[in-house]
Amino acid sequence: MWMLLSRLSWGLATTLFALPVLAEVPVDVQNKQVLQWLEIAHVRDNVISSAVPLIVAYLRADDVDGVPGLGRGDAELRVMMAKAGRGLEKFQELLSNDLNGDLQIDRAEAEAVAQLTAGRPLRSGAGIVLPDASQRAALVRQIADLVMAADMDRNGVVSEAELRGVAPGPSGDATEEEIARQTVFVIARWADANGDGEATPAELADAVGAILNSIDTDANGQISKPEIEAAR
Amino acid sequence: MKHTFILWMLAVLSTSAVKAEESRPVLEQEQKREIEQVLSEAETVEAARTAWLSRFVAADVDGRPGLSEADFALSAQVFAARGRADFLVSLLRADLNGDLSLTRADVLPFARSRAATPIRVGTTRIAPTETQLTEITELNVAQMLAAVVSGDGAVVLTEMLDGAVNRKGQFPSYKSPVRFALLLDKDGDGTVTEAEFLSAFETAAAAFDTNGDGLLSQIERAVGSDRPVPRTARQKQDRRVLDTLLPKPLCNLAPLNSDTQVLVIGGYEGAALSTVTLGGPESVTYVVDLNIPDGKRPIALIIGFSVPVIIRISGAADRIQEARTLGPPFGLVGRSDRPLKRAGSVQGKCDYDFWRGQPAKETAETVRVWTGTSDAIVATGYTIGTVTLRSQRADVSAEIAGGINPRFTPTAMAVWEEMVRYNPGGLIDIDFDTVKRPGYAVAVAAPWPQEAGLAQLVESGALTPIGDRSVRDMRTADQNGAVTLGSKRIRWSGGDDMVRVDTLNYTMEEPGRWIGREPPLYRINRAITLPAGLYGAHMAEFLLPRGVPEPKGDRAHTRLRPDDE
Repeated sequence: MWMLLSRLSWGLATTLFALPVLAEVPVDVQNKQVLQWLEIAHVRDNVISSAVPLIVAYLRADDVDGVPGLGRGDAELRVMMAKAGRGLEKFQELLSNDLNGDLQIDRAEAEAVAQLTAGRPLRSGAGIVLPDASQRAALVRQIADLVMAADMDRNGVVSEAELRGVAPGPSGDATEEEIARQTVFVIARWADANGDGEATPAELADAVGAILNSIDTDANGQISKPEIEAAR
Repeated sequence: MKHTFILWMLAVLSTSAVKAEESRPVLEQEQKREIEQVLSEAETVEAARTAWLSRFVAADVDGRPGLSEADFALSAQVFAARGRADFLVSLLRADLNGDLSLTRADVLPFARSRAATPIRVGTTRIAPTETQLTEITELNVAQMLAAVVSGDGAVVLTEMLDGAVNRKGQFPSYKSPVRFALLLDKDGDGTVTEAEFLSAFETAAAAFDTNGDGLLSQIERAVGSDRPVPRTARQKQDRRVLDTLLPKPLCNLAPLNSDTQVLVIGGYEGAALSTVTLGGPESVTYVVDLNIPDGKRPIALIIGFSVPVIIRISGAADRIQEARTLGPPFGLVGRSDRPLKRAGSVQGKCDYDFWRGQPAKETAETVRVWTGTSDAIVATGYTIGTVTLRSQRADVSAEIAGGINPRFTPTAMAVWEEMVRYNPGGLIDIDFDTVKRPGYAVAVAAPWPQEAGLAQLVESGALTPIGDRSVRDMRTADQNGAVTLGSKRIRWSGGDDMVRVDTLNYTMEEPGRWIGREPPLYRINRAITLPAGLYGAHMAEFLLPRGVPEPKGDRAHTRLRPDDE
């Protein structure tokens, strides 16, 4: 599904920036991170002038707040994006009992759905055991009871409001700690040369290029295998 | 919108009913497959029955005993509800503020991130330009909000639900044993009882459990479901037997009388059974002598070789009621005085490829049709060996009437000895003009085939033997008649005359005793024509020095390599 794809690519961007701290860490760790990006950029012969714009392009997948450049706003949004859609398991489970699609669940619906679960064979050590009628009826009751537990006002129907009740709302704004943990935040600070709070594509290119050029010891504009080894 | 949904459900239910009617053969097939699946996974019939019955129990969801359309409808409803819930939650993964609705603000960051990620095209990565970035972002937003119907810019839960219903195509269709269970409704009352549900199973189970012991052996399961047996070493052997038992298309054969004995002979070119090798420069043909002992019961003969073979039948030949060749249609079958009655070649649907072991299957099938039993036949790999008639093995050491001893000369002594190993009766100078229908052109003056021809070439100085072909390894069969050569375990059954392992050629010197030799190596000294029949055990290697033309003739299994010295 499209949404899933979106999250996958988003996940890829996050893995890209697996090493969180760049400004405060030793040079060799910075090198390691930039070499990792270089590998992902996958440029023929590791030509620096071709690799830098591509690495910057990948980094821009984290520019999600609409303000050009990577900054604190992106980090905040990243925290919220990571939280979005979490904790909907109970909601999903309840909603799958809504047989007629009216966003409400009554006991009849819950019991009908429970029949499918209760009819499954019980497994024992020796092999398959089928539930007898009374076992099955008891199971149906138990499963339906669990579903109808969401009927908080006990009027016999899990209403739309009650359904929504099991979906956790936003769990507050992003905290400072969460923001600081965001890789995009670290990269923004690392590359933000003029200190205006946003690392622009040009600044990102300078920061990445500087490290690649320092790895390119023979200054031929390419990163060779021995140079990669040496930088590690 | 509830309205739409109910209408949709009704549509689904009515089409499903119609479809069940329309695709009855398909459903029957599917039901058969599912029963076979259950049977092939259980070790006893009882366990399989319980497993099959569990489907009945699990599918009976409407609270009334027995399976009916109502069960199917309810199951389908539950399935659809689950699909809707899954779809909704997948949408809500982009619900940034957690209000269970989607707005532009919710999806925009996701859309931007997705749009900015460079696209992989083959090994290249392409990043969007600024303009493309804006365009793709908007496209992504539009896709994510595609379920909007109210036009207020937000997708609320109910709209998503509608969206889910409209996207029913992406939910896998509901499958339930009820679909085909309704086929089992023998009394037509719209309800399938437990007994009705089990009836098809019992029929299938009886076919699976061929010996009726209530246990389902590996072979019974594999035969019943026509599935490949897992290939452990032990089961590989079973599988070979199995191949011969599997039903095959009938080859227009009629069953034989119950007292008819079936004799099967064959294997490769027939070298192992041959008493006389006929050959010239272009081909080799083996002659298999078959002596039928006196007896009352008629004989049906199955002959399977990979090349034409001459079968000379002596003794009580009149006992042969019917003969059939498995193999190339040009196979020669005949008697010296008159052609065999009703001799024919098994072809058409029964056409076979010798190298894939088909003769074994066809032999088995022929025996099965003729005799109605498959107990008597064991066919393995691409050699055929059998049974019912008492040993009819050709006596390869017999003197051949009219034969002459080869003219052994010291220069080619080793090669002549090889020749005698394969042709213990000696060499016959045949006056080919007296052979009625040899089936191939022969020039009497040309070299002899195989080792005899090689010996001639050595004597004439055209070939120089290099090294000796002494025995390098000797193996004796174990009590089961099997020999292990390298990683190969070989059970000789009458046809395989050479096995190559590493650099050695193994041939069976006497029953159960295999001898490994280096293949003979010769240097070619001048332009020659290779002797015919350098196949299998008769293969040789040749060194070709610079300036010497490549040999003419059939290279068969020989190897030719440049002489670098």
